[in-house]
Order: sequence, then structure tokens, then C-alpha cells
Amino acid sequence: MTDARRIGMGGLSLTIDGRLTRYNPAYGAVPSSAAPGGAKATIPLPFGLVQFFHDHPISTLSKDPLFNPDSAAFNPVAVLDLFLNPPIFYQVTTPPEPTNNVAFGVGRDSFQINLGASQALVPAGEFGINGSSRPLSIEPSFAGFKVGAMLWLDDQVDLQLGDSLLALLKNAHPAAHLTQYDVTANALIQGGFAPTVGWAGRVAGNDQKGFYLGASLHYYFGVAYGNSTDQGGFTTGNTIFGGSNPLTPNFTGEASYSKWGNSFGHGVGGDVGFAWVSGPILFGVGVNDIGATLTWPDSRVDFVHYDTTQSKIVTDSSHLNVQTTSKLPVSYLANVIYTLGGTTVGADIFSAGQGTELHLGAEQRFGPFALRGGLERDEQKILQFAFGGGLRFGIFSLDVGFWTQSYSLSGQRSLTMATSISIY
Amino acid sequence: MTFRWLSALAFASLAALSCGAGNAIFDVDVASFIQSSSADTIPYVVPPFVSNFAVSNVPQKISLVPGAGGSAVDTVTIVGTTNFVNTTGSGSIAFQIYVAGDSASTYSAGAAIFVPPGIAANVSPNTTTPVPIPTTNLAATLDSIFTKSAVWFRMVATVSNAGATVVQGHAVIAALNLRVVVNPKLF
Repeated sequence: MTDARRIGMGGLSLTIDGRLTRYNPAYGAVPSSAAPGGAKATIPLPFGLVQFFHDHPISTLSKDPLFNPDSAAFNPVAVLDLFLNPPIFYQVTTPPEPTNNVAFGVGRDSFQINLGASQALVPAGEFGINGSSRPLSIEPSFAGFKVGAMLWLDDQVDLQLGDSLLALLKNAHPAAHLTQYDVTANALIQGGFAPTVGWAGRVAGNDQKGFYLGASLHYYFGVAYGNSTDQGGFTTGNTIFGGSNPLTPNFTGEASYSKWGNSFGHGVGGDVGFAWVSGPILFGVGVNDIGATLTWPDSRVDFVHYDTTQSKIVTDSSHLNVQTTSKLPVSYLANVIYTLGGTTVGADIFSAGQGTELHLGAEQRFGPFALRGGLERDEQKILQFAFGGGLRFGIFSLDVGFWTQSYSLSGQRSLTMATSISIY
Repeated sequence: MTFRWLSALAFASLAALSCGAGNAIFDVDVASFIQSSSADTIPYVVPPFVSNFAVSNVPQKISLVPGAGGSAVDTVTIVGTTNFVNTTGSGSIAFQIYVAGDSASTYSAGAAIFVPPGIAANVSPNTTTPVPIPTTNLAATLDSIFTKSAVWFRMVATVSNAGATVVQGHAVIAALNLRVVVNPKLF
């Protein structure tokens, strides 16, 4: 998201922009006058990069403590936060990066880990990075019909600590006898392209009061994919560090993949949506990637487990040219926009298959000036706040938006300032 | 991209050591390992007029937390208490601890870390003499053994008997704690 107007409203769209048409094909037919004020183009002003390269000059990047593990000031938490928060926009406040000591208590029959303030970094629930995107879509339309193709990418990486391991790390509970400490990991990464046909149009009413439908059918070609499901950890014995083998490792995993150059995966899915315009009110619901299951005819499946008799990890790589399947997550967006004079308010609910976001926002225009504000309940169910403003001069506007986000390891809020120029 | 918590990369770092730029501190109750195998007691029987009669226990393996192999050791300290439980005779006892990365090396003074340099006490019949093992910082002599998954300890009591009566008794480890502070390197 690079539009400072949306950032100033917590991610909400109050015009028929790319986000709305991406998730609701019916918006392809709704006239822009139903939610006026949309820009033809928006150019982000990445002041965050200026800030970053001021603090971390390119000429000394190789010796920068941020990237140099040999430096005494190296902090892996800061590196991971940078990965999770690419410094495109200016960071008004940065999330805390604990630098405390971590204590390990070791005895023959005791083991305890005290992470101190870093306990906040241990997630209590499932965590990961998930995204389903269409980075390029060329779909020209004629009289409501569209034919084209799009690129698609999907990644789902999730990890879940077992209850015992969670208590050990997050609450500094002592290790117990005959207890399994484990973590479950699932990862799916896939991508390809999809020829698309679709239609969007008004089925009832007129521009001021009408009902619109839209649908797209995709034939997905999968170029490459990888999927793994793993569970691993260790089980304590009667005595935590007693005997020659105090801990019994356990690990099982299944990895299937189809590399670039193998036969393409293929499958069929679709998007549907509707929009309803009634004077100043615009309401719509769109659902994407319905039934999108891909069949990969030329996959390899590896089974991995820890062999306690050999005390090593054993891989069974004999399953070649196997047919496997994968799914794209179903995503949906429902939104409402109400415009009256210089005031526009709106709300939406959005899900891409991993958690639900709620957005609520408003924009008030005073001549060339605009004030914006918004709230978001993000996928972690944390309330975020946003505000911003803009100045319109001719066909251009300069906008600024502030938005709190919890995209750090600590889960605490930081404040980001975004700036952009829009062309109308 | 939808973000729900942190990434797999984050977990890998957390699982290893989630202490940011801080240190990792390993507090090891060495005595608990030694006592379990009854190796905390070193009996001695020293004939009259014999000096520097050395007795020791069998080297004991002490488990550390694996995964700190690439880390830089900051400080290593050992502190504890030894009781000299003497039953007959009078003499002096010096007590030493050898620490090494494997069992055999604890017998090699050149390879082992040797602490403390000179804890000694005079003993008399039917007395128990507690001797504190003072906090000893091995930072100057340490090597990489403390970043491994285990170290080996061997205790040696060196008894001198200048009298005509047999000196007999045993040295007992009452407490022995090892603290290793490392600056973790994850990559």
C-alpha cells in the first residue's frame, strides 16, 4: 500500500480504486461518479528510504552494525523488524527491540529459560507470513466483457509452538519430565499465470441507483510450487540431563514440490461480486479464487523423519512424478461508502484466508484541503489508528497519512508517516 | 502481503537466542551433576610423612546448552564450597578443579583449565573444614570449550601429612556453580 490517502484512513478505500476492483469484479462496471474523488495515478514519496540511508549510508553498509553479525551492536531483532517493515515510509516511532540478557538455568534435573523482556517476542498463537497477490494483470474489457491474463503468487508460512514449548519460552516454566516440546510448521509457496475471461455490468437501475454484477473465470497455470508440513522437537526423559542421551529428538516432515521446468500445475477458479449504488451509498461484496485447486502432475514428495535407532534424520526421496494438489485461499471484501457533499465515510471487512481485517474511516474536504481519519482492527485483532490530510492544487494533490501498525516482532505499535502525490 | 505475526526466520532466531544485542547467560549447577554419580566425594588416606599425595574423582560430564558454537565467550566464573571432612591425623589439603572439553584432557594440566590456583586448608582429627571456592573468573584463560554442549570437570585433592598419624577423610563438594556469559552469534 503506497497511497497516503488510504494510509490516513487505516487502509480503507473511499473511491473505486485498484483494491476494490481487484477483490470485487463488479466494481469494474460501477461508474467512478458513484464514489467521486478517485485519482488517475498515485506516486509514493519514499521518505523512509531517505531516513534509512541517512542512518545507514550505502558506502558503509557492509560494516553497518545492523547487517554485521560480528558487531557488538548487532541485533537480530532489528534485522527481522526491518524485514517485516521495509523502510519505504518514514518511521515516526519505531517498535522496541529488546536487548536484554537471556538466562539459561541448567542442572542435572532442571532446565529453565528466562528470556526477560524478549518473552514479548514469543508469539502465543499461530504466526507467519501469508499473502495472495496478483502482481500483474492485463485484462482489457469491451462492453463489459474482459479477456486477458494475470500473474499470481501465493505464500503461506505458519508456525505454531506447542503448549509445552510455549510455556518454556514465554513464561520461563521449568522443563518437566517426560514431556514433548515441539513446533509445527507449514509452508506453501506457489506462483504462475492465469488466462482470464470475465464480465461486469449493470443488471438493474441506472447510474444513480443500480445493481451491478461481475464475475471472472481463471484457468490457473502453476509454474512452480513447494509445500512442506513439519513437526519437530524433543522429549525429555526421567531426568532432564540424566544419562548419555537426555533428550529424545523427534521430527517428521513431508515436502512436496514441483520445480520450474516441470509440467505446469493447472486448475480452475473464479471471482464473483456485486455492487449496489443508491444515491450517495455504494455497497459491494466480492469473493476471489473460489474453488481454485491446482493439480500438479509432476511433483516430487520427500518424507523425512528422525530415526531414533540411527540417531539421524532419514529422507525417503523415492516418490517421484507424483500428482499432488494445492489450493489458493479464498479472499473476500465487503465494503460500503457514503458520500454527502464534502464528506465521505466508509467501512469494509476483508479477509485473505488468514485472519479478518476491519476498517472504518472518513474524509472531509474543505476546498483544496482534506482531513482524514480511520480505525483498523488488524489480523492480529489489534486496534490501529490513522489520520492524515491533503492539499489539492490543480490536477495534483499532496497527501500525508499517519498509521499505527504492529508489524514488529514485539507486536507493539509503531507510527508510520506516508506521503504521496496523486494525479487527478 | 498479510502479516499475522513473525516469520519463520523470526522463529529461528527466537528459538536460538532471542536476546537481541544482549548476552546469553548459562547458570550451571555443576554440583547437581557431580552429586548424582556420587563423584562429589574424594576419599583420601595418606600415610605419615608423605607430601603432595594427590587423589581425584572420575571426570564428570556437565551438560551445557548446545547451539552457541559461534558465540564469543565474555566471562566464565566458578564459585562454590568444599568441605574437608577429616577423621584422623592432621595435615594440609590443597584443592583444585580441572575443566576441559573432554574427559582425557582433564588429566592434562596443559590442556585443562585449572581452578582455583591454591585453595588449601589445614585439617585436624574429627573436624569438618568448609573451604569456599571463591569466585574465579576464567576469562583470561578460557577457551572455546564453554561454547560446546558439554564440559568435563575433575576435582583433585592434594594432601600433605607431616605427622606420624595417618591422615584420613574425604573432600566433599557442597556447592559448585558455573556461570558462562557469551555474546551470541546467530549467523
